[in-house]
Amino acid sequence: MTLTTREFWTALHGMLLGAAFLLAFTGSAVSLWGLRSEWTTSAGRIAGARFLVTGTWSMALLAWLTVSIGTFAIYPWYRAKPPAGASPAVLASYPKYLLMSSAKTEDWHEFGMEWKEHVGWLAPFLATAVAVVATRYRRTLANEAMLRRTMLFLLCAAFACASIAGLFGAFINKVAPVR
Amino acid sequence: MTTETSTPAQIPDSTSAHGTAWAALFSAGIGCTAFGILTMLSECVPAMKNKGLNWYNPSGALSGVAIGAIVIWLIVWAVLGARWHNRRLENERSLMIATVVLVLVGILTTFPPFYELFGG
Repeated sequence: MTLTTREFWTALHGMLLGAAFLLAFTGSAVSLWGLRSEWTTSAGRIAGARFLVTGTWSMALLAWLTVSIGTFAIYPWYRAKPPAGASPAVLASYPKYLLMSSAKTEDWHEFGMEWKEHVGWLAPFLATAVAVVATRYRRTLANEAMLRRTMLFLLCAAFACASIAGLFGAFINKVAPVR
Repeated sequence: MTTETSTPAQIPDSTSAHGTAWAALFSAGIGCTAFGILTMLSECVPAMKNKGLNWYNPSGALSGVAIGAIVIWLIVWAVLGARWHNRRLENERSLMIATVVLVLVGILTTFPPFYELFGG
């Protein structure tokens, strides 16, 4: 029951960090949705704000770690060039070129990977902005409907971007795993 | 009292002063759009893909897109944060709409069928 170094980093990127980000979104979104002056007591607002700050900073940290490891560690392994004239058996160690070697699988790279490698990067920008606002305005956020609405949109957009990246990452790693 | 026409009117007021918040949220939208535009450049302009944005060769143009977008995002945030710090902005609804649009533009411009329309 062993993992290669590359398999370990790929699992860390997608199954640990990426999945944890998606989970942290759930708590953050529920905290933000419920943080309204008309729904909560002052003790509830304090507790809700604390959950929100913890959740959004967790999202931000996880997002930055996920995209950094993905871009600067795993992506180079994925896109490495095989030697000229490599056989199909050798291509298995070069995921991008394995996918591109057949019309049946090339769209996993041309569409799936190309979208995933870019859209996932939006998540840390969005999560960080929400975390900063949640921290700075934690005492008054319950009274600020327009801020909360905008923050919720950014959180949901971060979740959507990370979900797209995670979904395609999982499928691509099934078809052409990084080993 | 002069009014700037190119930015939301700014009224120094410590109560309900959300300028700092809008600087963070709006600049995140700018960061997303910047990332999307750099993505389109890297996919549609071969010189950018092969050289201009290839800042770390193992990762290719994605390295330049990511680092470039981060730099743009942080600069915009710093500038807006300084200008709107602790200020009450009049057009918060417009800022909300603009932020949403910028984020959606960022998502759209990373979508392969979209940038392939421009030669990607």
